[in-house]
Amino acid sequence: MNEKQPLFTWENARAILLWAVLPLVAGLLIAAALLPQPQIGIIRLSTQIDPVSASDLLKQLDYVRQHPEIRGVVLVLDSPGGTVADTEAVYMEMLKVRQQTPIVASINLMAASGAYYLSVGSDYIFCKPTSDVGNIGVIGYTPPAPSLVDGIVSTGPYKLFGFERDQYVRQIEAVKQGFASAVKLGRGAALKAEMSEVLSGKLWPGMEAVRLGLADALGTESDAIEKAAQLAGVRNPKVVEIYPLAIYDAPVSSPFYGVSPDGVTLTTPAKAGLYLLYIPPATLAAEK
Amino acid sequence: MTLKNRLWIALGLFLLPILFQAAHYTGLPQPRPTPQMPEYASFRAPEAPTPSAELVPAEVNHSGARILLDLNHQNTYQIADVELFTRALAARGATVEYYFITDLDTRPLAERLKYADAFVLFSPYMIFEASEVTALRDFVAQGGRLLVFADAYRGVQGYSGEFPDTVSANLLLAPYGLSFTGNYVYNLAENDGNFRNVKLNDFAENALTSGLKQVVFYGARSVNITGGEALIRGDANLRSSLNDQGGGLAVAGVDASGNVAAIGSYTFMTPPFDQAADNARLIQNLAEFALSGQRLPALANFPFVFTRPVSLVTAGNAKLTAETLTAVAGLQTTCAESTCR
Repeated sequence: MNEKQPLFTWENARAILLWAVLPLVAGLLIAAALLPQPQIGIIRLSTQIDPVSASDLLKQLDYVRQHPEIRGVVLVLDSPGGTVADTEAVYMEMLKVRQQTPIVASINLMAASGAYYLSVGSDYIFCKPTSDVGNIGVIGYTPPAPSLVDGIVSTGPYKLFGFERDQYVRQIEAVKQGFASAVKLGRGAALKAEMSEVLSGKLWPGMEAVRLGLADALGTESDAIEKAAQLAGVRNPKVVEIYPLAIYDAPVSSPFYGVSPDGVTLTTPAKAGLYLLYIPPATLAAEK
Repeated sequence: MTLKNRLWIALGLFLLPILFQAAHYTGLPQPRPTPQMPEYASFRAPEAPTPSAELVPAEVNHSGARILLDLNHQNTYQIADVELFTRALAARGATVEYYFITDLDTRPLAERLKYADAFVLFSPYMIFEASEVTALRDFVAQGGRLLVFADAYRGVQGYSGEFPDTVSANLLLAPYGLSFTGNYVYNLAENDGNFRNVKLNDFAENALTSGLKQVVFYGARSVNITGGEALIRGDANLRSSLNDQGGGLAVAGVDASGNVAAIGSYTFMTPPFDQAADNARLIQNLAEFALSGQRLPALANFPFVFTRPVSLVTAGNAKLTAETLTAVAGLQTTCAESTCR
């Protein structure tokens, strides 16, 4: 005669714990360790590109490189561009980051000049239908012709002025070649416009930029996040803002733009030099 | 349950969260091109084009010639900007004078033109008075040379954009079939270091273009020619800033008589731009052009005799014959048609 065994016995419970719960918990722990939720990092540029904003961007890109859980980056742009060397520094760092992590650019109001330079350093470019895109080229302020200045002693004709005036103008062309090359390499076969058109310096509305192949698609920031995840081969990522994670220092204010004698901030830079910068023509004429 | 079954269940439960997490977070990565860096070290600033035309030594063969440069119409140039041109005139023996009415010198343009061989105009903004326009037309009709220069760098910026230096000049040039466009020309393909520094290789046969193989204009306006000849043209890539269209745009021309020249730039005269290509030779040619007019003197050109009431005095035994009276009548007619009183 068989005696019916009770459903719960300590022996059964021990067996379930040993053969079911324990492996499941171990699996969960190992899954969490081996396969953490991927992250898509957001890096924003909402000002001109100058030493301060470039330094912030470089710190954020460095943070991405140091944190493999960040599987993709969305660079949100709303900028008229800025100084040449700072733009190039960020662009070159972007290319390094891209070797391991895809970067998708999402243009809001404007990615002009240097900001567009950064865009072509990404894997994919989204913009809005009326975003201002392009303004590819360089502007510079010609230095004064070398002359002797009473009361200042220098050791060479260009020690005081830095550049030969004519050569300085020509140098702009070499900087432009770098920008043009970045556009060609970055856009590749997607670029449909002639280079002469691209280098005309025009700003195009986003929809036209897509038609010309200067951007890939019209889309929002969430589209850019999806695209970054897709390029990285991840799903259901966690979206994180990189700035608060990477920047610990208080922002340093920098007088990038000039100030008129009556205290109004101008739209032209305070210092002479070469710029990958868009300056609204109406304001330029008014400030001249 | 056998031990083997228990092991399978344990393994399955162990792998389940890992597989679930993998499926939840992992997709198919898309292939991405390897990012490529521009070869920055290979980019070079373009070199300035070197001269190819021979510079002809100036001969002092225009002694006594006078060239009048306008400074009376809010011209946006400095005397130093065109010093190489005025130096070329002086080297040929000419005297350079400036037309600028002051309290000390109130002589009108007609008076100043009496002794001039050429009138040279750089970027005027003030409109010429009717008497000045008439004086210049008479001057040109008598073989005087008129050189009119505009320049894309000499526009005046206003709140609503640029006021080009073309309006006043075009009013003078209109009777001669020449006019400036208030644009600048550019060339993205063939230029001297910058799109607005345009290289020009297409020259018409003319003394003004003698010996030129290439000139470079720095900030030039295009010249429209309806009644003369285009002297310097750009190639198909030379475009106008107003509409980005191009194809044979001219930047210099002369009228049908060959006495009026319109040149769309003069920054090329200013160092160091005079050293590019054959610009120095063009400055020489312009000086020669200014001095090579065949001015037909009229009575009004004589300085003192016919600017005041004239009394006819006979000397000796002159007889009032029909021939004498005819000659005197001719003098009176000429005097009445000119500006003498």
